[in-house]
Order: sequence, then structure tokens, then C-alpha cells
Amino acid sequence: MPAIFTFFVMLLFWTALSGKFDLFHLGMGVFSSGLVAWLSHDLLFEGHTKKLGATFKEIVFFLRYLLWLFGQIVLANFHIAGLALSLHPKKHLDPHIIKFKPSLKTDFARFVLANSITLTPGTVSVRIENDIFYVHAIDRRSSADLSGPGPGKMERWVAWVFEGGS
Amino acid sequence: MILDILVIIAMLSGLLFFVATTVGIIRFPDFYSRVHAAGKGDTFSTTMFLGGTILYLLRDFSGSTLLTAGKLLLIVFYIFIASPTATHAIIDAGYEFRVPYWTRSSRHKGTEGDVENEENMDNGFYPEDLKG
Amino acid sequence: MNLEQFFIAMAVAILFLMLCNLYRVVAGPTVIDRMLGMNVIGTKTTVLIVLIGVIDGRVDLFIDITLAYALLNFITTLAAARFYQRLAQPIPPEPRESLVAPSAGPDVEEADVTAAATDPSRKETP
Repeated sequence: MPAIFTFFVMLLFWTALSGKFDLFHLGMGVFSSGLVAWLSHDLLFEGHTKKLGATFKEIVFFLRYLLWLFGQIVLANFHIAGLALSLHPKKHLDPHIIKFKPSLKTDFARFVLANSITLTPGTVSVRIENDIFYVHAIDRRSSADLSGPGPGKMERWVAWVFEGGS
Repeated sequence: MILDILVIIAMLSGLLFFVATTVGIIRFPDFYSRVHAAGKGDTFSTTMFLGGTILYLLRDFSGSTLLTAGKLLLIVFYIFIASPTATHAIIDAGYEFRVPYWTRSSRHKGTEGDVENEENMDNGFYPEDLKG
Repeated sequence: MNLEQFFIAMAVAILFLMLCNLYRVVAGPTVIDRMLGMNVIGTKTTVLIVLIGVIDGRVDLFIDITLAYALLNFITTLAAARFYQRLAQPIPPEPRESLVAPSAGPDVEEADVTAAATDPSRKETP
């Protein structure tokens, strides 16, 4: 089953890249994406055991999460632009590293959380070691959401998308 | 006409954030703060530039421009995944490298902390040292 | 309304700002700083290629180059980061201590960590 999904994703990608719809190019696409799907069908959906409807719901939730994330990215850029263009940036900076332990289970959810931490105001994820996130924050205000007690706002969003939380 | 104005707005905001990124990369006192400026501003300004180009291409609507716009959207999506990952790899390498950092906590008071750190900048740099 | 002049102005502005970023590549105190500057320049090069394609009126040709360049830039940054990270790791475990300056490594704060005991490698950071 994951091999068939991989095959169709690869075929879509091939068609978008080639941009030709005659028999020769489509045949080449079917051949090569079939080869790739046969060789690496266990990579794209690794450990994904949900049903089809649940996957579709997850995609819709993920799009809503992306909308929220885009707003956060705009805020982050205004924040970093304000810091960079201010007269004395060193007065506003207070870099430090916090660490916290999220309750997310799957690798993909952790990947999404780490990338979202990088894109939101004032924080960059440094590394994940033994389930603990090390996050570099540029000032005290921006790390308050992550270092507070209990899961932060973003972690609750990611848990809502991938693990059916609230 | 409205699409043209949208293109101009998107590109100018991308340019503004790219200016902020550049100024941040040049002005910020230590490596970790520069990573902040690069990781955020770079992603968003690239998105704004490419989004402006997509709007410009969709002005004359046909099959081939739709395909090109789809490819551009693919690049935007790719950059959204790849740029935070590259940022993460860079800051992780720097953290492993023990790149000196700037702080204003009690040990390094005031704005002169970076001068002190610049003397330490070369620590652990050379492979001969690492071999002991 | 013809936007060609506007695109040319944008491309020139991006080129100028890339030159400003080159300062960090030349003067950056560490190798990782230089890598950061090169990453930003490479990401903006993709935008520059797309803009050149728009000015030329052949975007469908240039878009493939852009895609390849974005992939290549990402792979380059990742490989260089991995290389320097591998370089920074100690070959014997002992002489590490002499290298670590008292101030090296940002200070780690305890914040909502329940399993700090499972983390032996970061104990030396104050």
C-alpha cells in the first residue's frame, strides 16, 4: 500500500517537472517512478500506520496549522527586523539556551516542531538529544512560551495536528 | 492592475526583510544571533520574492504559465522545509564547535563582552589541537 | 504597466545586498560564520536566477536551473555543517577539557526537564 502511494506522488512530481504529456515522456515517468517506488517504498511513509480518512484529516489540520505558522513567521520577521535596525541592538539582546522535553511521540511531529521553533519569533532549535530539545532564544520574552510549565502553545498545535490532542 | 500592485508590494516587503537580514548578519554581536537573523529573514524574504514572481506569471493565464507557477510553488515549499533544516545544521555545528558567545549575564557585564570573546574565537579550531 | 524596469531594479538591489553579505563571509571570525553567509547568498541566488528568467521572458527555462540550484545549495550547506561538526568532535576523550574555554558554550538553563539525568554529554556546560 505505501508503495502505491509513493508511486503516485513520484508520478505527480515527474509530470510537474517534465511538463510534457505525450506517450513517451509519460511512459518514462511511469517506468522511473515505478522503479523508485519499488526501491524505496518504505522511506516516504515510514511508520505511518493510520487509515486513509485519518491521513486526509491530518492533511487538512496541517494546512490550518500552516496558516497559523505563516502569521507567526511574519511576526518573527518584524521582530528580527526591529532588532537589527534598532540603534543599539546589544541593549535588547539577551541570548541564552533553554531545554525542554516535549511529549510528542513520532519523529515527523518532532521534525515539524523543531522547524516551527526555528521559524517563530526569537527562537532557534539547536539540537535534539535523548528526546530533549535544546533551543537558543535571543531574548527573555521570546522563550517564555517554551520554558513555561506544561506544553507550550506551539507544542499543543503540533499535538493537535498529529496526535489528536486538543 | 491590482495584481501589479500586489507584485510590487510583495517584492518590496521581501527586499525590506532582506535588508533587515543583511544588517542583522553584519551587526549582531555573536554567531548565534546571526543565525537568528539568517534563518528567519532569509526564508521569508525568499518566499515574498518568489510569491511576487508567481503573481506576475499568473497575469497572463495559460497552461504553461500555470505549470511554471506550480514549479515555483514547489520551490517555495522546498525552501520552507530546507532553510530551517540548514539553519539547524549550521547552529548545531557551531554549538558542537564551541563557538564563543556573547552574553550580558553577570560574568560578562556590559557591551564589551564580545571583545573578550573575540580573543577566544579561535579555540578548538585546528585539527592538530584536537588530536592533542 | 510594464514591470521590467522594476524587476531589473530588484535584481540589482539583491546583488548589492549579496555583496554586503559577502563581508561576513570574508571577515567572519569562524568557519561557521562564513558558512552562514554563503547559505544566505546561495538562497538569494535562486531568487536572482528566477528574476533573470522573468526579465528575459524565459522563466520556464530558468526554473529548472533554479530548482537544481536550490537543491545543490541545501546539500552543500548540510555537508559542510556535518563535516565541521565531525571535525569538532574529540578523537581521544581526554584532551577535550584543555580546549574548552571557561566561557565556551552558551549557558544552559533548566526549564521543565524531567529527564535531565539521561543527558551525560552536556553536563560540563555551566
